[in-house]
Amino acid sequence: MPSESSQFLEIVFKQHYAPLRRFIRRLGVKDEQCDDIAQEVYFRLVRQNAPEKLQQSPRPYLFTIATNIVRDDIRKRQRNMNSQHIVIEEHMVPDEAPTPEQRLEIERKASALKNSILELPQPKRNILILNRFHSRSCPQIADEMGLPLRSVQRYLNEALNYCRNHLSKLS
Amino acid sequence: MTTPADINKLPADLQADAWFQLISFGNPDEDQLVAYIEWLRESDEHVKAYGEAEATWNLMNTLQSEPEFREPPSVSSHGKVFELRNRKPHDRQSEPQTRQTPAHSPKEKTAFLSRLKLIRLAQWSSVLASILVAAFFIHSANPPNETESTVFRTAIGNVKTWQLDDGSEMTLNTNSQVKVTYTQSSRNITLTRGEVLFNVVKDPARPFVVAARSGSIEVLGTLFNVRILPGDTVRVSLVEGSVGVKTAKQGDSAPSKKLTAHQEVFYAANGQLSETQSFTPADTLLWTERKLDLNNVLLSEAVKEINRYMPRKLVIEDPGIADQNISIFISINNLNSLFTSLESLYDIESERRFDKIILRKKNKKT
Repeated sequence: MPSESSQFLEIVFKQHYAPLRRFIRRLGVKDEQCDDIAQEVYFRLVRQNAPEKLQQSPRPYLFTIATNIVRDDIRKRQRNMNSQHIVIEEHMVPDEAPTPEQRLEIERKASALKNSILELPQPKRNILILNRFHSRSCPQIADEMGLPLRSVQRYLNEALNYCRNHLSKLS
Repeated sequence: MTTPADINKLPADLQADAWFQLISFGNPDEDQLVAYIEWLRESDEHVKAYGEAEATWNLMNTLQSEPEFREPPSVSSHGKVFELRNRKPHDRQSEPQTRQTPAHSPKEKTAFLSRLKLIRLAQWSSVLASILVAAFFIHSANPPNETESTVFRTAIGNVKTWQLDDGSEMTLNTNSQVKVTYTQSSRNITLTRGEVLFNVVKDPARPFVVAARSGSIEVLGTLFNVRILPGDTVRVSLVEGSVGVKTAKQGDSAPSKKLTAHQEVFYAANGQLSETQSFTPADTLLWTERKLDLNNVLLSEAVKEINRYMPRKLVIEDPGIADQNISIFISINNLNSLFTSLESLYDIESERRFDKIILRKKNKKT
């Protein structure tokens, strides 16, 4: 990575540090943990290495990363309560490639998911396909199909819910 | 725009999906993000449901290139849905009648939709049938000739393989970015950063051309690796098949440099081409197995190579250790083992800071 871009990340990060910290407080994080979360934001920033996002809309980008970190933290704590396992610091380990068993499991689930999508009645199926595989937003789909926005949103949610229930029956 | 208040009105089992969409695709503002975390904190059920919603969407990512989903279903602007797939040949014969089926105005449509589900479904299917042929004509009148580019990228430390529409495969190494532009007569790829291995499916009618910095590589069917090195030098390594390498410096009329299997060539930022030389594919492609083999190299060189995979960069603080030779074989999946090896095999210790990792000579105090 060129050093200019890491300098750029650092400068923008420092510029927005105070509002970022205030935002983390608003997410219900204890004061003494806010700096840790902010550091983790910086770390993910470096890892994602998408300076263009930081350039276009620095604050929403930083705030979204912070939100994801707090969410992951909530999850970890829930998992810990359920399983007593200690969560290992994941900082240094990039995403692990799945083992062959995991890959098989993913393939099995993916084909079940595909079948459940193909089973969906119209217009739910097309709405889901447009939204998920062709990155059309709900308002765009509503416009293209001449449907009220709320119906599109409801169909999409119902479609997803159907697929999810289908998947959860598998396991 | 979905608001948190809207989401809270949804039935419980749909809230998680709605949140997932808002957070992932809806450009949420500060208040929405706060409301989202509050919702998660409300109950363990919410956390669990959100995890399931997210997992479903992630799984869908693996279906992106399935033939059933690759083309967007065509949708008219008057509230009719039709599909080009599953079109039966005899649909064509009924064309004159079906084209005259009066279209419902969007308003009527809305009223219609609010009625019973069954009626709605019946209507959908009749519209579907009536519009199939029209769809065919609209489609053939406007062939999809606009060129669209897709950008693929990997984060630092990741290696990922994608299959392209023509069946060719590309594997991106850490921190790499590739732009793919396919048309009916060409397959153009631009490597904007990093390293990539291509396995190209032969198609003489659609040449496969990879542009990287000052040059480009033209391909028939082949397996080859392209890497942008520091200083914008590009290395092209051919494993199988044949490729021609061309740079801006040579001009259009000059013949391209042909490589045969197990040959590689470098070209500089100014377009200067090197002589071809042979290489060992197993070494050059070791990264695709997420392994790094540094055999008897200067620590300063090793650090440069390792840093390609490190979100937090290694920095040599002690110039005295930079020209020490080291040999190390590590998995990119487990770079933590690197520090254990460095500390046990060599006289080096590491200190982790939040933005970098410092390497120095082991502290004499015991």
